[in-house]
Amino acid sequence: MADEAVIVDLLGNRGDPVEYTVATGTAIPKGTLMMISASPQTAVIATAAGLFAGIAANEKTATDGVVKMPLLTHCIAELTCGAAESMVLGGTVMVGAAPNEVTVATGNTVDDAPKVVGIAQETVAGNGTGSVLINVGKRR
Amino acid sequence: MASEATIITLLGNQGDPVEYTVANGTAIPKGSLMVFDSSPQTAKISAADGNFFVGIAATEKKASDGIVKMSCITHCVADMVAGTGATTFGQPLKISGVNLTIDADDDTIANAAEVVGLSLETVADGDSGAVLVNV
Repeated sequence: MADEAVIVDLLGNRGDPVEYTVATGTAIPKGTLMMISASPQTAVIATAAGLFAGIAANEKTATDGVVKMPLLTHCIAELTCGAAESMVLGGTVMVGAAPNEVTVATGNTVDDAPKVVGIAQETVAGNGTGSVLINVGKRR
Repeated sequence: MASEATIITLLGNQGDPVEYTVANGTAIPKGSLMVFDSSPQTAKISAADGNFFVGIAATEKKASDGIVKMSCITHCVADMVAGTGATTFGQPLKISGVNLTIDADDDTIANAAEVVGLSLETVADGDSGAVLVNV
């Protein structure tokens, strides 16, 4: 894949990893943005406006038998915007059009909150990379 | 009481406990879902929709034991019991009764303080499911 997140700072207790079930047949590069996909507590690589779960803490190859993956939920990470996407200092971002890309979050409601990846720490234009404060599940 | 939460993983610094004042005369089982009662920083056991969630009781308290302070866990993954109504993975949850949660439907920022956490499982009424709590 491409555009995986680069962790700048682990916050909380070493990034507050939360373990999710993942599909054994899928490769998941370290730093991949992951979303909640099914019950119970199952995650896949995030697609546009997915319910953000965290950042893959480990590398996983396809069909390696691994079905559990810790996802970092509290950190600062460098994330990438897509070609027609951006982030604005102080604004929330959500997963963009392609995996590992982020863009300005739409919606400002309780129901929209699980889509939020984090809060942009800088203003970034299309194809740019900027730091984002991630704190999954935080009430806003 | 019944339906207290069971903490699976403490996140942050040992679950980031925050201390609240509680009533000396009230028993509070460990794992109770706690909500704002009054100012300043006073909490009680959850009771109904509309309560403002503050955390999960970190310790057991008996009635009239002289204790008036309670640490509430604010950052963890915990199993919680679903009340009557939908409880859907990926959705914010709110209080629906004593220690019970359902999907939050008061869709405004003003109601964000009602949110208990992010549901990680879809469960039937009365069953338990994991919830990511981050107050």
